[in-house]
Amino acid sequence: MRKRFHLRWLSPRALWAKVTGRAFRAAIKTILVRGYALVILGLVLAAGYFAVHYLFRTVFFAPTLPPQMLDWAGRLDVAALRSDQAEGVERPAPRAPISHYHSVDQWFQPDAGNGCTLSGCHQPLPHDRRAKVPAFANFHTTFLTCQMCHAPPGQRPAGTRWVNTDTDRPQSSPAILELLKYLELDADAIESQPASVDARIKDLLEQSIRTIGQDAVLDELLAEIQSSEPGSPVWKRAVSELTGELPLHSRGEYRAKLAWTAVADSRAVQFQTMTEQARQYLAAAPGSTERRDLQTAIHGSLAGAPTPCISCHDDEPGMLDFHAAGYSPKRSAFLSHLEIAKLMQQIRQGQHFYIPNVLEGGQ
Amino acid sequence: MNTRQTNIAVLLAIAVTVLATARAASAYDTEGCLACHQYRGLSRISDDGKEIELFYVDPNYYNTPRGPHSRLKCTDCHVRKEVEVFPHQPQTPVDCGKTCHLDGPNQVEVRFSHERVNEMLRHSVHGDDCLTQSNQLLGSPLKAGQAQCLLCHDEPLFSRGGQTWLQSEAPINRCNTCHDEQLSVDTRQFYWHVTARTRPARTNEDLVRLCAMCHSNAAVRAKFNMPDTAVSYLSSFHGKATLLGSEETANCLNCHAGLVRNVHQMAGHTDGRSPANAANLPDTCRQPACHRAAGAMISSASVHLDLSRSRSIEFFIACLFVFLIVFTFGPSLLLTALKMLEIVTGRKDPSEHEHVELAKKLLADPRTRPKLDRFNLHQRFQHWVLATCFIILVLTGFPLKFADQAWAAWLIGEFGGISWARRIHHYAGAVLIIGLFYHAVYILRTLRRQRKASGAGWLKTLFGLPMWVGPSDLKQMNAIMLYLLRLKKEHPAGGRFNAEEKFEYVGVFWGSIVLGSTGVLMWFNAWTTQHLPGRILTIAILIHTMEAFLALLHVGIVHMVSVIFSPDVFPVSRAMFDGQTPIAELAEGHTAMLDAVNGQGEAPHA
Repeated sequence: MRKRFHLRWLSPRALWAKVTGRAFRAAIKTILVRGYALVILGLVLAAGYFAVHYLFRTVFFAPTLPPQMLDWAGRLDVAALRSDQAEGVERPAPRAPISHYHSVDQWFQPDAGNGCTLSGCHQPLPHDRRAKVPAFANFHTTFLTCQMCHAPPGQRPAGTRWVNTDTDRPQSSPAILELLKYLELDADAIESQPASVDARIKDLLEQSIRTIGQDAVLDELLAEIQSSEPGSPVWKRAVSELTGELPLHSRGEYRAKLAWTAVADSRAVQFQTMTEQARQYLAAAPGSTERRDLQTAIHGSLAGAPTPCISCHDDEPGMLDFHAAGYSPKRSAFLSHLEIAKLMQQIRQGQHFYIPNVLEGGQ
Repeated sequence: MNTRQTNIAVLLAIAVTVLATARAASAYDTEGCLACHQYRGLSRISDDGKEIELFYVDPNYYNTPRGPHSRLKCTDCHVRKEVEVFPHQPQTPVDCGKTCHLDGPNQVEVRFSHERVNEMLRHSVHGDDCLTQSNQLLGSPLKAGQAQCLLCHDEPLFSRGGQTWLQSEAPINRCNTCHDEQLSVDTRQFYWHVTARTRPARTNEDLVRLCAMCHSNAAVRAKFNMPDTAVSYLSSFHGKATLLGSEETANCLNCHAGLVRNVHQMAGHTDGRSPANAANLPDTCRQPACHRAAGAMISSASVHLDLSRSRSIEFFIACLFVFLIVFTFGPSLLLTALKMLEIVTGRKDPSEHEHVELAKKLLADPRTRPKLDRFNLHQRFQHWVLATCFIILVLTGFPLKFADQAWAAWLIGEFGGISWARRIHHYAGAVLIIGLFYHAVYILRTLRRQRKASGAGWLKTLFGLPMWVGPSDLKQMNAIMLYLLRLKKEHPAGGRFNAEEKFEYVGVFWGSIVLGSTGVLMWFNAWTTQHLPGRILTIAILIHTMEAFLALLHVGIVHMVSVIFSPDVFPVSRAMFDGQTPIAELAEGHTAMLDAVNGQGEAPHA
C-alpha cells in the first residue's frame, strides 16, 4: 500500500512546535498573559482614578463654562492675528466679533503660514494703516501669498499653485473655483443632461462647504440638490441659485492661497527658515551688522517695489495665468483685463479722472 | 499729485470701476456700497494700531435680501456726508434710536425708530449704565459711541435659529403660482420679516452663549454681585439639553423674559414684574409650551443649583453618594486591581492546580457536568434583559451627564435628538422596572418551592437562598481581601455564588430600586409636582445621576473585567451564554461548589 504524503509539518503551528520547546512556549504564554494583565491593571487604576476625580470635581468644585460656550469673541485686535493660537480664534470661521455688525459670520483668521506677520516684524494686515486705500490691497492677502506681488518671477506667465493655509502644503484648485468653472463650462450639459452632471456638482459643493465651513445658504442648496431629481424644476432652481451664490464665496474663502510654483513646494521649509531668521534678527542688537545681514537674507528674494497691478490684470502676456490657476474662462478673461488696474496705472502716471454722483445708484 | 489726492483718486477709480464691471450691487443696494464692501478681507489696521477695521458687508444681506435692515439705504444709518466722499470721513457711530425712512409698498415712505426699544431697555434690569459698565468690564468690545444694542444684537440673517430660507420661501412660491403679477416685490420681504419674528432669532446655544458673555464673566459678576447663572443653568437638565442641541428646552429668555413678554423689558428676579420672580415662577414654569400640567410646587425645583457652593440638602446628598461610591466602588476596584496584580506576579493559590484538575474531571463526566451549571436558561434570559436595558439606559442617559462633550452630542444625534433619546430612556427604564418586579416574583416562587421541598420556615428558606447575603459572606470578602493582600495563604472557598457576586447582585437590586423610583418621579414630573414639592425633582435628578454613575463604574469596570477582560475568562465568560463557568474561574472562586459536586457524585474523583 502506498504511503500518503503528509504536509502537516509545513503548517505554521507544527513548524512553531518543532522550532520551539515546550518550556519556551510556556514562557511566551506566561509573558503574554502577565503583560495583558498588567495592561488591564493599568486601565482599571486609570479608570478608577478618573472616575473618582470627576466625582470630586463635580461635587466639591465650582463648574466652569464649557469651552464651546466661550467663543463669543470680544474684539478683533491686531495681537490676535499675530498668534496662530489666539484665544477665541482657534476654530475656523466662527461668528463675527461684536461691533462688526455687517460682517455676518465673518471672522478673520490668523495666517498660520505667514512668518512675515507672525514674527512681529510686519503687521497682520501688511498694507499701510495710514489711509484706507490699503484696505483694497489687503483683501488680496486672503487669497495671495506675499510673494505673488513682492517677489515676481522672471518669466510670463509664471506657474502658480494653491497652498493650503491650514497645512501649508500645495493643493489642487479650491473646490469653489472648480465648481464655478464646472457650472460655466458645462452649462449645456446641466441643461440637457442633468443626470450626468449631478454627482460632480454635489461632490464639488460638498467639498466647497467643507472648505468654507458652515454656511446656511449653501447647506440648503446642497440639501435641495441632494433631495431632488436631476433636471427637475427644484434641482434646476437650486443649481441656478448656486451659480449666483458661489461668487459671493470666491473672495477669500478658499482656505488656500495662490503662490508661485517655485516657492509653493518649499513654503513650509521656507517658513521654518524665515521664522528662525526672524528670531535671530529680533535677538540681534539694533543697528548691528548681524541684524542687517539677516534682514538682507530674509528679504533677498523680494523685489524693491511691489509689482504693478497691471502685471496680472492688464499686461499681455500677464504675469498670472488665471485660467491655469483654476479660474473659469469668463472670470479669467475679466481678471486678465481689469479696468481698475488700468486706472490705477493711470493714477501712478499722474492722470486725473472724474466721477460724479457715485452714490446715486452707480451713475 | 500728493498721497492724499492719489488715495482719493484710487478709491474713486475702484468704486466706479467695480460698480461698472463686477457682480456687485443688487437692486436693494441702491447706493452701490456693496461694489466695494462685498469683498471679504477688505480691512485695515486702525489708526491706533491696535484693532482690525473690517469694511466687509455680507452681500447676502442685500442680494437675497435677508438682513433685517436690508431694505434700508446705508445712509439711513450712516451719515451721508461722511460716506459720500472718498476716503470716507471718520464715521459717527450709528445711533439705533434715530428715525429712518422705509420705502413701503408703492414707494410710500414710512418713518421708523427703535427709540421705543431704547426706552423699554432703560426701565429694564439691563437699563441705566448696566450695559456701559459691562462693556468696559468685558474689555470694551464696543468702541466709544457705538450703540449698545450691538452688545447683544449681531446681524441675524433670516436663516438663523433653525430657519431655512429656501424652505421659508415655499409659501411665497405657492402664492406666486397664481399671483405673480399681483404680489408686490415687498411681499417676500414682509413675509420673511414677520415669519422670522415668529421663531427665535438664535439657537438656544447661541442665546446662552450671549448671556454667558456677561453672566459668566468674573469681572461683571463681581461688579454686579451675581452668581454664575450661565454655568449653573448649563448644569441643569434644561442647560444640558441645550448643549445637546435641543431647541425645545427652556432657555434663559423663556424664564426671564417669558414667552409673551418683550425681552427688552426684562426685570430682575427680585422685581415683581419678572416671570422669574418667586410669585410668578409657578406660572412661568407652567407656560403652555413648558410644564403645562405641572403643579404650582414645580417652581421650587432648582434651575440654577450650584452644588459646590450651596450647603443645602442637595449638597449633603451628593456628599453621601460620594461616600457611598468611594466605599463601595473603592473596595471593588481594589479587589479587581489586586486580582490583576496576582496574575502579573504569578502568585497562585496552593490548591489551585488540584481544583483545576478536579474541575476538568467533573466537567468531562456527563453525570457531574450539569451540576456545574451555575445559571439556568431562565436566569440567563433575565440577565440579558437586564443587560440590554442597562446598555440602552447608559447610552441614552450618560450623554446628559457629559453634555458638554462632543461625543455626547453625537450620540444623542444618533438617537434622533434629545426627545427621542429621552423617550427611549424612559421605555428602557420601564422595562428594567418591570424586570425587577418579575425577578421579585421569581424569587418568591423559588422561595415557595424550596420551602415546600425542605419543609423549613419562610425565614430559614429565605436565608438559605443561594444569593442571600449573610454574615459568612462578609467574612468571605474579608478573607479574599486578606488573601489578595498576601496576609493569608489560601483563597477562601466560594460556593455556587461567591461573596463578590452576591454583593454585586445586591447592588443591582439597590440600584434598580433607586434609579427606578427617582426616574419615575422625573418622568411623571407633572404628577410629582402636583403632590410633592418641586425640590423633590432636583433631589431625584441628583440621586439618579449619582447612582447611575456608581452603577456604570461597577458594571463598566469591575463587572466587565471579571466577565470579559480578565485573562481567566478572556475573550468572554460563557456563564451567561450556556451556563458553564470557565475552569479557571471555577477553580478560583467556586471551590466549595466543586467539592460539593465531587462529594455528591456516585464515583467521586480523587
